[in-house]
Amino acid sequence: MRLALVISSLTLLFSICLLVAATFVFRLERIRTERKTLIYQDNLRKLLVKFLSEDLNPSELARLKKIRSADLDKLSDSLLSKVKGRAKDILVSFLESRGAVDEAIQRTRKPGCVGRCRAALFLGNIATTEAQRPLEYMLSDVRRDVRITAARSLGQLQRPESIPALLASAEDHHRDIPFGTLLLAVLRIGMPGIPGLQTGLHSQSEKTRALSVEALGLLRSLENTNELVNMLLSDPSLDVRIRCARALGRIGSNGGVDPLISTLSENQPTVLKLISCGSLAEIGDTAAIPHLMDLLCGSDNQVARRAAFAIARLGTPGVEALHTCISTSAPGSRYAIEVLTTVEIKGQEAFQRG
Amino acid sequence: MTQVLVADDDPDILELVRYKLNQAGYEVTTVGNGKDALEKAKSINPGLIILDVMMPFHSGIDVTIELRSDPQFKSTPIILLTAKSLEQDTERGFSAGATDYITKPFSPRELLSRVQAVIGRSV
Repeated sequence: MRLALVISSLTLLFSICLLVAATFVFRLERIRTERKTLIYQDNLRKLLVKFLSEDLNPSELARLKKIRSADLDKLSDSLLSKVKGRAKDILVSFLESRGAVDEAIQRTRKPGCVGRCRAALFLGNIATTEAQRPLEYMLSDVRRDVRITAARSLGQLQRPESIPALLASAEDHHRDIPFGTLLLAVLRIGMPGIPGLQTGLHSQSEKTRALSVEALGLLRSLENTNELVNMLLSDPSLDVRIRCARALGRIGSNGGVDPLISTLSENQPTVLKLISCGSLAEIGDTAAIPHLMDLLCGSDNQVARRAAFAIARLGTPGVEALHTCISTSAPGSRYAIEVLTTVEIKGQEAFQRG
Repeated sequence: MTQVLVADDDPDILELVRYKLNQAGYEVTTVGNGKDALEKAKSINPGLIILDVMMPFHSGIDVTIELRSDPQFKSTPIILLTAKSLEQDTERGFSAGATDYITKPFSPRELLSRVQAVIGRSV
């Protein structure tokens, strides 16, 4: 009995020792493999960086082109988003010669959303013309992450031909993409995208119109002032009208002054009046002062305060109007005092810059 | 030979910068975080420091502020190399004491030109 107990204890001890030894060897082997991989990746990186600097000798170049490892593809992919100029051009043609673009295009339709996201990211970074269609197709992917990545990548492509697809995806309620993501993508395309955005102004979809208006305002599209004025006055959507008011302020054309003043009237929504005050201040036309003074003396405190700040941003005539308001103890004079104190603290120039 | 200290937590960037500057005849020392950057800067006293902004332990901005408070580094050129490209980020960088500000993605050739210009100005 005692002997059996000793034997089983020894067996248990031996098994534990064996397990500890096996774990130790396994971990050691893992560390060794990791180190080897790191050294390999480091060497690949050095080779690739030398290649980007066009300093490889023919034998090194041949060696690099023969390497068919996933590590090299991964490394090239990662470098793609970090360099620009000549180095990027070299990297793009290297990746194209390895068939990386075709492979990424194929991955855009494969199951596994991580793979699709990576493919979209890669296509955006490499920014070749062939990437446009697959990325547009991905805007209606079942996974939101993929749709967002595709929209960002389309922005990186900077092709105005993508504007209709980006605007159309604003309409899709089932497969939505955040408004901000679409806006950034459109803005990255920049001025060449303006004709596409003009078309978006006439869309049946409220979201598409809102996106087009917002982008045109941020792009300071002066030639669309009249269109934005019409929409400010007659669009059925309040959201679109608000965005028009803001866009007119950003564009800064005097053509926007009268329509913006007309939105300050009693029957207009408060939120629109608030935005119009800011936009009138941005345009900087002193013709708005009497209308803003009316709001300052009005019953809506929120609007009165905003009007006071807008008046002060209209330079010396605005500041004088506020002083008059205080001296006559007119309603709203408390906001005039508040804003003039702020001007005094910040300085007129800094205040006018907003 | 001018010694350049480069701090970035991205090995790809470190290698890109190291290679380009080495080729141009600079002696390059690389570190992977802000803490090491501070220690290394004090020990080697480089002629130029290139810092990433978002790094572990100390950001590039913190390192710049700390180095600028040390009389030893009052006039050492510091270039911030960062993905932060907004106007206020640039402003923060310069007000911390940076000599130049380069945004990622960057062109290695442009980086070299900026380095040469900054070193030329500081001589």
